[in-house]
Amino acid sequence: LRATRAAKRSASPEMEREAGPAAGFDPPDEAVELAQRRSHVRRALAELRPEQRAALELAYYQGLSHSEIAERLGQPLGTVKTRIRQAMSTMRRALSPWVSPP
Amino acid sequence: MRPHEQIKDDLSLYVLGALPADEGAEIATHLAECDECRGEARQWHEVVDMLPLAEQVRAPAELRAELLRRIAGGAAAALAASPVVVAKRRQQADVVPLRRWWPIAALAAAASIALAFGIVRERNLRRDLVAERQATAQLRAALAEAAALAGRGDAELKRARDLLAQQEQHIASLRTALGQAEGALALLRQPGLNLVRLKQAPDARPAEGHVLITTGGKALFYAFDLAPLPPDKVYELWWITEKEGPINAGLFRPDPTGIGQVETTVPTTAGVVKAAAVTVEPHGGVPKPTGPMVLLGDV
Repeated sequence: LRATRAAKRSASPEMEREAGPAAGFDPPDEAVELAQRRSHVRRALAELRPEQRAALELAYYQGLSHSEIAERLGQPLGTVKTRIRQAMSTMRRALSPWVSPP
Repeated sequence: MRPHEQIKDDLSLYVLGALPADEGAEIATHLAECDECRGEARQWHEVVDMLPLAEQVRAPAELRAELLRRIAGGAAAALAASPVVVAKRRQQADVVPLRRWWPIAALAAAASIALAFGIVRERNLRRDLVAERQATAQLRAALAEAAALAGRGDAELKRARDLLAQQEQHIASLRTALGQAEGALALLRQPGLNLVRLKQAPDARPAEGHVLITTGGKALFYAFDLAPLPPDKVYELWWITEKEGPINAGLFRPDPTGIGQVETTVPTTAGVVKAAAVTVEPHGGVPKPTGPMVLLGDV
């Protein structure tokens, strides 16, 4: 059974992740929790406005500073800063269940 | 210093590492004395730490290869390459800890003095931070997959978790180093700062030096890849001036890694300073250069 599932997973990892743990399988709580968090993060990112997401991804995944992002996107610095701020605020709201209180 | 509210507005950018060094340094200073902003920054860190879960961006192949190099051991390699294989192989799995990433400590320690290389360092740290984040995203993804397949309390799962914790520690150290580098860089970005690059003199072994000169006439000389010296020799830094020729600017010996540093001032009474140079001289130094020149740069 495990081999079959493994084969399915490698064939369509995205689908498998979106579908969550397979039925009839009792995963550890921690895995469930992680899967939930993962889907929250993914959904929150998907709901960002495209220009906000672009700015956030350039900052996070490519490690660019806001002036480099502004240059890359051909946008004013202030606009880029605002977009990153908005993107981060949206992410924080969406992920608030996992952010520890002040 | 900008007011608290403005700083608070920029905390999310700061935590992402998206602020230029001078603004970052300002925020770091503020954080040291503001509980509210520190709490806020911690929350932003928690948000940023969750971003890799989305795996929106796949790490490029070379990054995966680098991760594989960093993690020794078959199971760990499999962990990075294919989450599924991990679960299948867990009987014989053996996860070896990540190779200690020594430049972090070295860079962090050097950050406060190595102003001349601040820009390079900041770039490298930023790049490393991104690489570590991506590596962590992969590990986390692999761990989640493994957790879904394996039973709880499984020994390998625990080791994988330890590996992830280590990875997160690496990132924390990188953040610290980046923060320090940014602090150093803030000094570098004072207006009117002049950077002089010294190249190896002809026939000298490859070395590189920089002199930073502030508008106030202070100078910081910094060089690396310097050859070690016998005990009776010393490196001597010179200003080559218009009226008096070479003027002693300080003596130094390189540290074991070949780095040498001199804090000095620019002479004001000898006319225009045309160049800076480094020669090898007898212990104690000499009033005018006698030994071989190893570095030279026009001011």
